[in-house]
Amino acid sequence: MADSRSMPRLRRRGVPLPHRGRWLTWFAVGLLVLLLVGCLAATWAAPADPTAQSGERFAGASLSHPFGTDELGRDLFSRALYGGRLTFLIAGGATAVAMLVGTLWGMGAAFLGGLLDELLMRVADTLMAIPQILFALVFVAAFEPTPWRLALIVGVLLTPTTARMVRSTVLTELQDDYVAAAVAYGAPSHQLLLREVLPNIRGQLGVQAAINGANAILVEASLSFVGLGIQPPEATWGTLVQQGYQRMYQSMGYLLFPAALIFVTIWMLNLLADQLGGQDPRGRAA
Amino acid sequence: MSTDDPVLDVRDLRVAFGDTTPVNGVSFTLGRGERMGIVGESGSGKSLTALSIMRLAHQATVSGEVLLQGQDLLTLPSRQMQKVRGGRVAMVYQDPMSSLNPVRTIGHQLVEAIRLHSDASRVTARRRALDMLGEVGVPQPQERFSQYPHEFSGGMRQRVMIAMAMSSGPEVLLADEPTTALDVTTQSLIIDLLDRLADDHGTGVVLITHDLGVAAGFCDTVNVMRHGEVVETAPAARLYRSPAHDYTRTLLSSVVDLTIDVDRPIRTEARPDADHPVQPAAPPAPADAEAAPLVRVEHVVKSYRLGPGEHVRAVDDASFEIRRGQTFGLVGESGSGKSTVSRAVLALTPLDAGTVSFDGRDLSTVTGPELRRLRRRMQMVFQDPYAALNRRRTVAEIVAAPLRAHKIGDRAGRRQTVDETLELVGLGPEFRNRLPRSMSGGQCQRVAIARALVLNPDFLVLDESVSSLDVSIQAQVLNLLRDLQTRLGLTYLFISHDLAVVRYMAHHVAVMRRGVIVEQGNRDELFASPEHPYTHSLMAAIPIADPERERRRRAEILT
Repeated sequence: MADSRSMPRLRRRGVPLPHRGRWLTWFAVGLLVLLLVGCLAATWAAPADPTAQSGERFAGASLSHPFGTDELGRDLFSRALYGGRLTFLIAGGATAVAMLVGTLWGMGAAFLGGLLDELLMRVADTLMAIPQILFALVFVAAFEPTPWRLALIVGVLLTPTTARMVRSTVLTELQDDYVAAAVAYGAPSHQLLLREVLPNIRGQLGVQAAINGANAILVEASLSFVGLGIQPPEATWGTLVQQGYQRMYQSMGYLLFPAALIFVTIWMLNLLADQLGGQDPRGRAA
Repeated sequence: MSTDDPVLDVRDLRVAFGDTTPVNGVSFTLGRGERMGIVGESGSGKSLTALSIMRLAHQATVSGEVLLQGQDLLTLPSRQMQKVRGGRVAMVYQDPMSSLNPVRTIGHQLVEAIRLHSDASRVTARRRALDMLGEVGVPQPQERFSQYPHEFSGGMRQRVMIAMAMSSGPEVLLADEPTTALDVTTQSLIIDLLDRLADDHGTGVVLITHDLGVAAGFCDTVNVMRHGEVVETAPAARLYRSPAHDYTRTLLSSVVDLTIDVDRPIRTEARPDADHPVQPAAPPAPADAEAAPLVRVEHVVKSYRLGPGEHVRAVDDASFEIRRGQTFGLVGESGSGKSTVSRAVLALTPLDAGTVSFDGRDLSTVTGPELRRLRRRMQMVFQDPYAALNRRRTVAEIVAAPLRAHKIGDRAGRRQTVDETLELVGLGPEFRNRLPRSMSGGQCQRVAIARALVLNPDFLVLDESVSSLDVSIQAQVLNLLRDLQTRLGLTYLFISHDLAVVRYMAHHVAVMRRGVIVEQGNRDELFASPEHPYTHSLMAAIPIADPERERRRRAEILT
């Protein structure tokens, strides 16, 4: 009927997106996969045993020690790979916890509505009102920080924001006619949410997962930096940064290389989140 | 009007986006004070033609010539083009709300528009703005001057847009679907306004519309566009009487107005590019006065909260019965509460008072699994097929979803049912794996109808189900619905803002206004002698796709 409707559709079809977007996405994905594979396969990828001490202390970057060595002469590159494995496990676990609990929480709140929605969201607000690091500090002080406990705690920290995002997204979807149609043909609630709504919000969930991943790495690094994360001789990137920071004047690389890894990973995750956010099956920018 | 000395001369206009050329060689000339119509369905390129004349088609490659008094607009430096836009060539858009700045007063925006195109002082511009508001028929221009767009009704907003467009005394006015977003009763007034302004100022008007009825009474010359090309250009009187091109004939025969014969299916001539086979002729289901009611709506009240202590009664004491195997038509303009009725009938919203019973059972007493079982028997088809279909699912999945919800059949059985239902609505098995966005509006609406039919229901609520479709597609879907009713013995609640379409579809009709059913009765009786003045004005407002009768109709409602 009205051409104002066909116009944007046409623009969508006719004008190709700038290639920059896709190129960036693949770049971010490539770099992340490289880091992930390198770290997860540290046992094979690392050139040296991360605890083996060589005679050289605080060696600079060289071919045999790409990141140099630390105060005990251990190969920093290998330590960074092994540390990355822990970092990724903790961040991945935390993201999984946050996405799973947050999605159920947000969907439940949006779908149930009324008092329950109010209750669930006020709980989320309360959790968000507590400073993240303080919250984590209390838990880590109470229980000895193992990787799985850290993943759980960081995951819990990221859950309320995820729940909020999911709730608002689902609320928008619930307004759509296809949901009304599903109610009208008698779809049971679980089918309505899981089969109809969930596939339509997976783009936004992907964005949130990327953001959660980046945040998890940051929170874990912060905890380790104040000495409340994984304890030496085990190390995450955060632990390495903390130790490197204390020995800055002996070797800059000790601090900079792990810090750079954290920085690049978080950057790439945010880049990915941005790129994912630009895609929507309806062609609107999300 | 003489066309010897055209104001606007468009020669071989082509607009391309990459490899697609949605406008492919459009030419026309517009004389001083002439009213030119560009008529076409969605995707025909009619709006893009107007945008390209204004050089507002972004990212497009435009070629050809657009001569305004002999000067080619397409080659004009953009500085000078800015002066032409809104100065010598003005434009009025479909949606007046999004074309006005919501945080500025109407007066401010008018004054700004005037001062952009003349060196009038603030005081003169203000005086001129007030004059314009008066001229376009905004009552109490002094007071309205300092109001904001949201304080205006849709029709008044469109008047303001027209005032703004005319304030610079343009030589050409491009009106792109200026009445499409408005109610019928307002539509006539806006068209009259354009008519009067064109006369008084000698402005050439290009009216772009999908509505052949609107074009009939307004235009001197009509261009029929399709797939980016003008397939026929003729004086309105000739075009409507003896259309030369097949496509024009199809368009004209698809028009549903108050003059068509309801006992015969609308003629939708076979088109080589028709996206589905032509439906078999569907005689209307006989109106059996003895048929028992299937749905009974009694004293239903539903109000919505606007703000603290503020409520609006969307439906106020509505009562009607829908008889088995028949169609009950519900007509009303925007905000009349007709969609709330549809939701109430399907128990999609709780009621404040009154009852809705389906096959003798009060729906408010049925809950949980029992309600879900009852839902199998009543289904709904929505207005916007793209919104009503899950955009992530294929056609087969969409149509099978209700079966899955009720755990009917196994995989193979469902597959077969889906195929049969798709065939019923005229879609072949090749559509199974398509996604909604890769289909036309008419095809999507067929999928929505198939989904509604797959559970073998008794009752369908059709809420503006054909309103977003092009005329030729609308005609096909209307015929399909009537055909299905006879074959499957379906009962319909047919809701529409379009009185003519309701007349074609319904056995009984109710007219709704501001939540109240003002009149209801047998279709033939109601249309023969409407009692309520509102029904009268609705009927009088519907354009007729015949220049002579349309002019007479407009003359009548003006007096």
